[in-house]
Amino acid sequence: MALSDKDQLARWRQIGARHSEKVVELAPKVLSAGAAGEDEWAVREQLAFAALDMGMVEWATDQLRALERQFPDSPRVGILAGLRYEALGQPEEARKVYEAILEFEETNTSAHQRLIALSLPLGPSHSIPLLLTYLDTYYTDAQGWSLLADLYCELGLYAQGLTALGHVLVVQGWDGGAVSRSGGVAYTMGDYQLALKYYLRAIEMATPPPGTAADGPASTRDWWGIRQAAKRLLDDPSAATSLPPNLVVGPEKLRALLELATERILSAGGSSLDVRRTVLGGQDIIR
Amino acid sequence: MSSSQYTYNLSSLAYSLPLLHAAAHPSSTVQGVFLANPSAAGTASTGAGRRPLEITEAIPVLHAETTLTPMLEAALEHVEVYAGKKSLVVVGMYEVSEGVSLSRAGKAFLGGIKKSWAESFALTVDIKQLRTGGNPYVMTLASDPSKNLQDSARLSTPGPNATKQTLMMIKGEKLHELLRDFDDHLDDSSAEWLENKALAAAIAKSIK
Repeated sequence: MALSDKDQLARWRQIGARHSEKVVELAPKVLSAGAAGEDEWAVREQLAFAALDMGMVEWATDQLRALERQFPDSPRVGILAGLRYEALGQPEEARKVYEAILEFEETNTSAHQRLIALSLPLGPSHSIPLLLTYLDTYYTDAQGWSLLADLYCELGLYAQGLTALGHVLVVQGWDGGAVSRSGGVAYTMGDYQLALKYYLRAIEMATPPPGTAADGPASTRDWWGIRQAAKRLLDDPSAATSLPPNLVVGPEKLRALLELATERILSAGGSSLDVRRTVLGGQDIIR
Repeated sequence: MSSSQYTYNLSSLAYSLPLLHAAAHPSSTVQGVFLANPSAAGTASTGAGRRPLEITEAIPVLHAETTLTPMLEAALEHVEVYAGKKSLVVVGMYEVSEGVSLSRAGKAFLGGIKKSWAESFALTVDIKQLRTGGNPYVMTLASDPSKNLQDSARLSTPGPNATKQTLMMIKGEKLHELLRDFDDHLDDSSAEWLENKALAAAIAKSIK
């Protein structure tokens, strides 16, 4: 059963999904119908964020003013005021807003995060030190560690990126996406044995228990990761790795993994299967 | 010798696809490739003496992990097979991000393509130009990656209204919602990313 507009907006707020294009369609309908009820202020805030995302600054300003009247001097509304300046291309005004919030409330993580975000256009070498200082205090901010990993990778500092992803996994051990990304970083560094380990772990985490079906279409990303890594290792058995010798996967197992990955990728079906078959069949599996 | 011997003529699809890809993923860097048939390039006209190369297709590749290589490599293997069937070759790539310059990863991407075809090029987007409705593309040649060529005589576009028509496709018809890239295909292998047929047909109707 489809969710009502109000419930759909609530669901997106709950999971932190942006869907800004849809929010600017649905939220005004809900508000003008008077249907928001006790959600009204949360919906206004949600609409303001979405409107800023879409560059609809006037709409956002209307909501911001309403929120300011309802919640005067609120740091939470203050963040929105800062974001509005950012959307208007006035980063210095935004900075003043965030710094004022931090004077009032030193532990306002949103204000810290926005100050870091303001530094991003200057390039990773500017943002990384700010982010490191922030993460020293707010260690459990997985998004912060994830952003740090991205910034390191932008600079080609893959080992540091891998370490940052390691911290994501300390904070969010269930995050299969971070494991998969770690596989990608290890592969990019040329450590294919390590990449293989990460991709296999990602597959393990994504595989439902026997007897349960996975929901949604099967992702082939991690199987491709395995195929790429195994192929590289079979092509160059002497490739260097950070793994100790007892954890290294030898040629026989690599061939078996390659076959398995090929079978899994093909069995997912879908579009351009003929091209996919040629790509996968292009390796000599029979050596 | 740094100059390419070609002028690059973007088809409607090649012109609009990078912008549609960016619109589909507004908070990510996006990358893709351009295809052409160099052996079908025209003869050099007078003047600069460059041969016109028709860039007939563009394929959207990544919107995630654009600094990492394994999925990019897998995607390019697909593109090679697909292109080969149509007697096409990868001749260039695009990257649309917040900035105008090619990222470190983008430069590496371009370097990889250069190995297959020396006259390869990269296109990035100047967002400010987009607002004026002009040609927003900045070109970098693989043979001389230090230079950004804006409004270059070397790049021709499908017509003076191409940008406006592309923006209409995004704001009006929301055609960017039809676009699927390799990252989408990895999440759901029913996603058709090599040809984006429905999108290509809509573009052919919208850009004249």
